[in-house]
Amino acid sequence: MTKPPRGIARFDSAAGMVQALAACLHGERFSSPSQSPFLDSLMPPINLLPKRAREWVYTVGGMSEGITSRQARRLDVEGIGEWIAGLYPQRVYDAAFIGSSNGALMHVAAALNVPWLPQTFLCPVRAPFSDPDDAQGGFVDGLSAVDALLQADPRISVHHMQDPNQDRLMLSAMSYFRLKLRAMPLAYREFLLRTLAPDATIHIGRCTRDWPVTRTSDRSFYQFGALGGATESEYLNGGPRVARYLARYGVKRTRWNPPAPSMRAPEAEWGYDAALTESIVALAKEKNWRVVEWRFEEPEALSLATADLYRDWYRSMGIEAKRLVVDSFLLMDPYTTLRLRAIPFWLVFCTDPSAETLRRFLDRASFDEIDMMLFSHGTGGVGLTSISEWRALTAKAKREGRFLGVDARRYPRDFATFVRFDRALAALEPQYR
Amino acid sequence: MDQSRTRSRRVRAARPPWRVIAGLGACALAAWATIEWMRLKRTPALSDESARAGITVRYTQAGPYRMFSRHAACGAGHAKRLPVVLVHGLVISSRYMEPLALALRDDFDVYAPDLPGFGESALHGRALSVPELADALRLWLGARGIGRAMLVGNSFGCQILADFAARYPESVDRLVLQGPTVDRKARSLVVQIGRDWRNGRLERTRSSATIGRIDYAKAGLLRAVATMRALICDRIESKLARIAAPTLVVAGSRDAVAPLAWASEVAARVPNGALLTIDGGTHTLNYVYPHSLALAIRPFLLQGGAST
Repeated sequence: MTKPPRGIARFDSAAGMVQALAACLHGERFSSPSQSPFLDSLMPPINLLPKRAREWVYTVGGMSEGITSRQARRLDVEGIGEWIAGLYPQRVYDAAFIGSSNGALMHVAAALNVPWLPQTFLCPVRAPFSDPDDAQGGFVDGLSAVDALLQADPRISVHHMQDPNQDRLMLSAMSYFRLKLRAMPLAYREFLLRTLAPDATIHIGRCTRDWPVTRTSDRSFYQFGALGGATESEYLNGGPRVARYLARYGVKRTRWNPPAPSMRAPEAEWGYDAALTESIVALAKEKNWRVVEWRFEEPEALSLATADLYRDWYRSMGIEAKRLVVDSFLLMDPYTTLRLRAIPFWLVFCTDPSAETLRRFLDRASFDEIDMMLFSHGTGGVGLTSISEWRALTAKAKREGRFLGVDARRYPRDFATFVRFDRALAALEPQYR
Repeated sequence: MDQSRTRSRRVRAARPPWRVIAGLGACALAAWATIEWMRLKRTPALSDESARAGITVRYTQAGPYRMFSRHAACGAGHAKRLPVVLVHGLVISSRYMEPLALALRDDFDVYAPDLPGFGESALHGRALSVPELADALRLWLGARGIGRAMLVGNSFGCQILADFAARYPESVDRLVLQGPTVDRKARSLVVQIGRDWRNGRLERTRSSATIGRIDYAKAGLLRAVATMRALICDRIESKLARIAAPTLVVAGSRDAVAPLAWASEVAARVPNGALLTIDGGTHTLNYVYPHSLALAIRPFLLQGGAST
């Protein structure tokens, strides 16, 4: 696969998922989110470093993906669209997905053998020596980059996102800007026109999850916090868990002090900005394509539906699925999951709400084997699920539950899992063609 | 004293013979360039992939010129519609028009000739001027029995079409000028090369540069330079007011060669002109975004007259 253009982070959900699905459509495993054999070779030795050194390397590695404010002004959204569309095999498809990033949706697309075009991608802008907990400072300092990105392309909205609970390490070196396409780039249009069959269907993945934000212009928002371990109220008003977390990291404050939200907007990473629909429908109308919308609020709601869909699909082939493969954030491999005839179950993150979703699912479904990936973001944040709790969930397997490429002692700073998860998955048997 | 001189001569003799190395390097580079140039010149007129996609080719004697053309026959058999003729840009040939021809053929019979001196239409002697290229197009249409057509040009092809439409209005049903050159406010070869380089960077993921190299080799450097001069000297703006046919000027919003302001001016100067902007589009829409361009100009072309 080709290297992404400047301005799109490889360690992000959208970039990871699009590469995982594209690999599947090419008939290949998704074995390297970094797509760099060199970086991958460094991961295992980095994992042996002491905790602080590991965190530092993670931060510096992430910073190399960032761009400067000056580069942000020249961000090539079409180039990013070309890169994404160019990842897929150039052939005729009966359908295509477009819209919200969602791991479960990747498995649906993989089963249908069709591509997905993301609405949102992460553009990290370098901001060295930043204080991740200083919401007011982050808000003000980010305005110039917001302005630069807005100028770069009139077809995007900019969601400045600051989540010191989960992106603590990266935020000390970068600011996160999630860019949402409000109209289809020409690269997407051309890809759809080139590859979709005359009677094709466009599926819009529409996650309606929103978040309180501070509006900074008609196309830009500041979002403090994000979907994960802490609640909206904890981000905005603090609480005992937040105070304990900040104390653990030696931060003097007891709560965060973000700017007052002025409205609710689509959640920066997972939510869908409905402005995009107009250009999709207009194109579909011209080509007489059907448009189907998959609407859901919580991203993981689709994981439950997808698991059922896969079970029914396998049954229609005379296969009773006995293995559950649990994905974590961008750690997933639709290709190998299909070859294992396993049920996929995607979790947003390694936090309590996700663990609860899996627990609810396992209360009504049983599996001989449960194989779990576990994303590491390097922070022992509020609502992080402990390794023992994850282990307890894998233990619900009737025969055997196991982690896939996880170093339990180093979680949530187990960065080598990015190169090990897929090797561990691919080593499972039996696999079918 | 003598001993020290001898040592000095020895030291000099021991220095790396950089001139020899540089000379050998230059010779090797020149040899490689020549071999590559010859290889490009010998590139077949039609690739297997294009033939499989449904492109056919033909040579036609058009007056003094033996002209090559590509043809994408209409798949749906709309025999009554006027044909669409695609006119290529500077030095490049109809080869880069294939994607657009294929994208349009569901509705139209599409032709794309190589003008004399370019692509497969070999021509010995001097390079033709813009009016002479327009005359050659007229001869080719006559030889192919096409009395009237809908004409689509890209870049320098728009200059040829503007000249053609101004002098032969009876042959033109309607015109599409995509990325017309040359911006009157940037009438300089250096500026044009700079703009072309910037555009090339925007189109690098699906660039037509490979085809460009083939066509430069086939046309030859002298003809390329002479035609660039013709491009710069030709004043399209002086001809636009004489175009009677309905004209659609198509502009890519990111076109660095023919910027939006210039494309708007071209549309405004044509009596029956209109501007269509393609968001995110670049200069070579016919090659980089052929399906989007075809979809955008289709309604305009469907308004075209019927063939007799």
